[in-house]
Amino acid sequence: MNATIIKLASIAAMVCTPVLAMAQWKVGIEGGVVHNTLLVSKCYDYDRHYSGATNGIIGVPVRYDFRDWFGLQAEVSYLAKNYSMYRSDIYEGNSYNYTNSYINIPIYARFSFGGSKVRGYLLAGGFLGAWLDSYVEGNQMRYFQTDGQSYSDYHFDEKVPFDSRRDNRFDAGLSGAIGVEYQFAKRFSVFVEGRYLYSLTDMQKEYMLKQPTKHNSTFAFQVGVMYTITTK
Amino acid sequence: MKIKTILVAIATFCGICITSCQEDNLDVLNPNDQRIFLNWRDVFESYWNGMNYSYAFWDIDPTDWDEVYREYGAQFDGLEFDVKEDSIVAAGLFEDICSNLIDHHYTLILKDEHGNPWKFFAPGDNELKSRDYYHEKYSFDDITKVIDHNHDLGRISDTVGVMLNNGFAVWSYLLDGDIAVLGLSSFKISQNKEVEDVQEVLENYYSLINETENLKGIIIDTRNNTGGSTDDMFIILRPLLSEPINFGYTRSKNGLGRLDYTPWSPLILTPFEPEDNPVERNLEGVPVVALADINSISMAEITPMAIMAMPNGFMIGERTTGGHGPLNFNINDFYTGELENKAFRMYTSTSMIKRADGMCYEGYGVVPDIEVMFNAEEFSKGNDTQLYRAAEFIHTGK
Repeated sequence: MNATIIKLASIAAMVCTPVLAMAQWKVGIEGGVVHNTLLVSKCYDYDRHYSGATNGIIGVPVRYDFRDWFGLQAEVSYLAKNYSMYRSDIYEGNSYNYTNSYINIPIYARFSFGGSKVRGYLLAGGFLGAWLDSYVEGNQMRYFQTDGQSYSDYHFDEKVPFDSRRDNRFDAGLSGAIGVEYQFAKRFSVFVEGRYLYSLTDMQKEYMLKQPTKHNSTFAFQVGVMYTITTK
Repeated sequence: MKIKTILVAIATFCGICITSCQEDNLDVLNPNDQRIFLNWRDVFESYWNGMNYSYAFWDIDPTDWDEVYREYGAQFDGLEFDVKEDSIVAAGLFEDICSNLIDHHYTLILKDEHGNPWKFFAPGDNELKSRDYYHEKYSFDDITKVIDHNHDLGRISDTVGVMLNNGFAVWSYLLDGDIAVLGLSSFKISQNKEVEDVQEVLENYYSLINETENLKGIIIDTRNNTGGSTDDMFIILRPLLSEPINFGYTRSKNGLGRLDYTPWSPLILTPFEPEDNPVERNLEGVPVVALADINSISMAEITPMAIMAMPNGFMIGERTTGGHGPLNFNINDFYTGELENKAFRMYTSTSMIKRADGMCYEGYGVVPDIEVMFNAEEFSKGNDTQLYRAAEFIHTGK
C-alpha cells in the first residue's frame, strides 16, 4: 500500500515539476468602461422601453500561469450594471435611470497565443458577485400639480432601498474575454481587453407566479497592467 | 490541440453573447385589449394576469395572489358561459378571490353575454359594513333639514347651496356667526365651475372668510362624500394656505413585477399668488377643521389629510373609508389601475398614497384628531352632533 502511494507521488512529481518550474504568479490592476443592458421580459407594457447605460469598472486581477499558453485568473471587480427605463409617446419624459453597483469575482481559464512580447489571449469562465446598492434618477408624474398636467413634472435622484422580498442580491453568471497583452519589461506587462458578463441569476428572487425576468448583460472594455511576482 | 482549444473558447464566447441578447417576452395580452373569451377559465386567466401585473397595492395587500391561482384556477375549468349554474359558480369564485383586497376603491364588475354589467363585487364595502361604527349614507334632503333646523335655532345663517341634476351638491353657510362652512357631496366643483349656482356657493364661501368680522374658524365638510376631481382641492384649500404643505406621497408601478414601484412623488399643495387669491384675509391662527366620516372616500379623505398637514389644520369625525389611491382611469398610464374588456371591468386605483408620516392607510382610513361618532337619532331631528363638536373645538380649542 505504502509502495503504491510512493509510486503515485513519484509519478505526480515527475509530471508536475516541469510545469511548476514554468509557473508564474502575476498581480495587476485594471479599469475601463462597462455597458450594461437589462434583459427583461416584456408583456403588455408596450411603450415602456429599456436601454443600456455606460459606467465604469475597476479590478484587481491575480493570475497563475501554468504554461506560456495556459493559466488561471481570478480577480475582484467593482462595476456598475446600469440601465434606463423610459416611456414614449404622450408619456415621453417619464424616465428612470438606475445605477446599480456590483462586486464581481470572476474566475477564468486563460489561453494565450502569439510571440514572446505581444500575446493575444482568451478568458473563459464564470463569476460570483453581490449587488451592493442601487440609485435611481429621473422624472415622473406628480399629482396636484398647479401648472398643468405633465408626466415628467417631478424630478428625483435617490437611493433605492432593497426589498428583501423582491431583490436578489446574489449575482453569478458566465463570462469571457478577448485581449492582447504586451510585455514591456521583465516583470511588467500591459493589456487591453473586451469582456462580456452574462448574469445567469435574476435580479429578483422568485416571488411571484409568471414572473417577468430581469438579467444583466454586460460588456466591458478595459486596460490594465500586470506585475510578475515570480519569474521562471 | 492548442488551436482547437482556442477555437472552442471563441465559439463558446460568441454563443453566450448571441443567445444572451434575446428578450424573454411573456405571452400575456393586455387584459384591456382582450376580446375573445371562450369560457370562465379564460376570464379567470385574464383577470388573474391583469391583477398580477397591474394591481397597485401588492406591497401591502394581504392576499396571496399565487395561492389564488393554485386554489381557484382549476375550479374554473369546465365552467361554461351558456350554463347558468356554471356562471353562478364562477361569480361566487370571483367574489371569494377579491374579498380581502385592500384597495377600497376596488370594484370587480362581471359582464353578461351582451357585455352588460351582471355582478358587482366591492370588497371594501363589505369591510366598511363590518365596522362597529358603520352607518348608511344620508341624502341631500337630510342635509337641507339640518341646515333649516339650525337656521331656525339661529346657529346657521348666510346659506347658499345647490344640488344639480347629476346629484352633485355643494353648500356654504356661516355657523354660530363666526365659522365659515363649506360642504360638498362629491368633488365635482371644477367640473361644474361654469354653473352659476355653484359659483355663488364658492363666492359665498370666500366672502364669509373675507368679511366675517370675528372669524373663528373654517370647516370643510367632506362627510358622506364620494370623492372626485383633484382640481377641487385647488379651489377649496389653496386659498387658505400661506405656505406650501407636503401632505403625503404617491407611487405607482414601473414594471410588471408585483413589487416594481416608482419612487414616491410628494403631494405638495402650494398657495395662490396674493393677486390671484380669492381669500384676502390673513388666516394665521384661524383653525381649519376637516369634518369627515366613514363614508368619506378618495378626495373626501385626501382633503382631510391635506388639512391635517396645515399648521392650523385638524380633523374631527370618524375614521374614513380608506380608499384614497388616486385613479387615472387608464391602465396604460402606468400599466396599473382600471381596465375593462368584454368579460369584466376592474375599477381600481392607479397609485398608492402614503401620508407624511410614512404610513399607508389604504383599507384602514384616516383617523381623526377628535373622534365623534354619527348620531343618527339626533341627525334625524336636525341636530348634527359632529358639526356641533367641530364648532365647540373651534370656540374652545379642545
